[in-house]
Amino acid sequence: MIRVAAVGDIHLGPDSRGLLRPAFETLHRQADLLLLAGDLTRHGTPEEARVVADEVAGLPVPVIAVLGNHDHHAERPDDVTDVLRSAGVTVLEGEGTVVEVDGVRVGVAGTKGFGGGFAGRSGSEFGEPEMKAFVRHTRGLADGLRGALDGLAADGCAVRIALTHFSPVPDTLVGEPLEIYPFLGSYLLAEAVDESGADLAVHGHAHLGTEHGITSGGVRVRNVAQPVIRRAFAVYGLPVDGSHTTATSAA
Amino acid sequence: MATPPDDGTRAEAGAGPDVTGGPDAPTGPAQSGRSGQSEQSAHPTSNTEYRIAHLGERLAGGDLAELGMRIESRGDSVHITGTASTAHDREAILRLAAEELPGIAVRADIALADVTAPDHPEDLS
Ligand SMILES: [Fe+2]
Ligand SMILES: [Fe+2]
Repeated sequence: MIRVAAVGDIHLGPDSRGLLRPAFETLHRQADLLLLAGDLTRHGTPEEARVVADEVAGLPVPVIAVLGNHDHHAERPDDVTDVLRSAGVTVLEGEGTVVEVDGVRVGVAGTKGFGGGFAGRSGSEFGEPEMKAFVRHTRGLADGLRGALDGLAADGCAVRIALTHFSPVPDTLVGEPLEIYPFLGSYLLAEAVDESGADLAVHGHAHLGTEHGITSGGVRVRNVAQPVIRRAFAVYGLPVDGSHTTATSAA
Repeated sequence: MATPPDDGTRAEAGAGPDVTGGPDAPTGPAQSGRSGQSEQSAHPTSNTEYRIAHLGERLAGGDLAELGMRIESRGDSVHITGTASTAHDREAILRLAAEELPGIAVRADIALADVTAPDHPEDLS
């Protein structure tokens, strides 16, 4: 069993320094890794990123993050990423990372993702340049996620997790107004997950949404936005397929 | 500021995606004038629907960067629901609501974020 802790949308700023640290310090007792599903800051400034970095620095489990739209607001995502990395956080965008848990290779593929809507109710790459750019942005990030998941499979990961900020499915948006679903996620993310395969998809962004969902390909989805899970983090236990469990791969 | 709505909640009353053009768009008079609601036509922002949209803009654009509140018109009052990180944030939200919605009863149901560790995992086998 791989124990995955996850939370998104913690939206930290200078006033919230230390808020999550007490819970994070107990995390290693019930989880093997921590995923941060974006919107870690309020405005995406390096100062706010420093608060996030201090909150997770030195934890005895790997911390893997994607950025959210709030982390882009100041238009300094590279600086935010650098600050988080300096605290040991692995920040993913169109990439994967592998952590080893008791000899099991666990892969996490991450992207911020973006909106556009869900199958049959989505925007198209058509018309004005702004509209094309909007959909193209989502498509590019979804392609990055697909490539990263494929890479993790080729890398022999027994467990693969897709980590995004925007939602791959509408299931986990229930509670949000229907009218804004296209701003909350895109089916292109789910399509990438289903085509490449994953054991779990984790996202945030929809503060009023619902924790549980599933892709049409059967991959379980969890919305871990902090207002949704109502805890410092959620923990999911993922079974390990015995055929992939090769303790020797650690060598 | 020019980014699309985020976590969505200010899109109530169908106004979310359309309010990004700016809080001072000359919306009020045209609307209320046409609709013949003379008692509401005196001020440019007398229309509650637009005031709610403007409140959403202010919550998003200010220090709070708060896009997680659901602001809805309910009868004669405005109802705000969501989760705030701290009591300080919750007070700031209520203060802005009072400023933006003078003369309108605001009923708020804003929870504080629970930052305790979970007591059990969810087993996905
Ligand atoms: Fe968020
Ligand atoms: Fe977000």
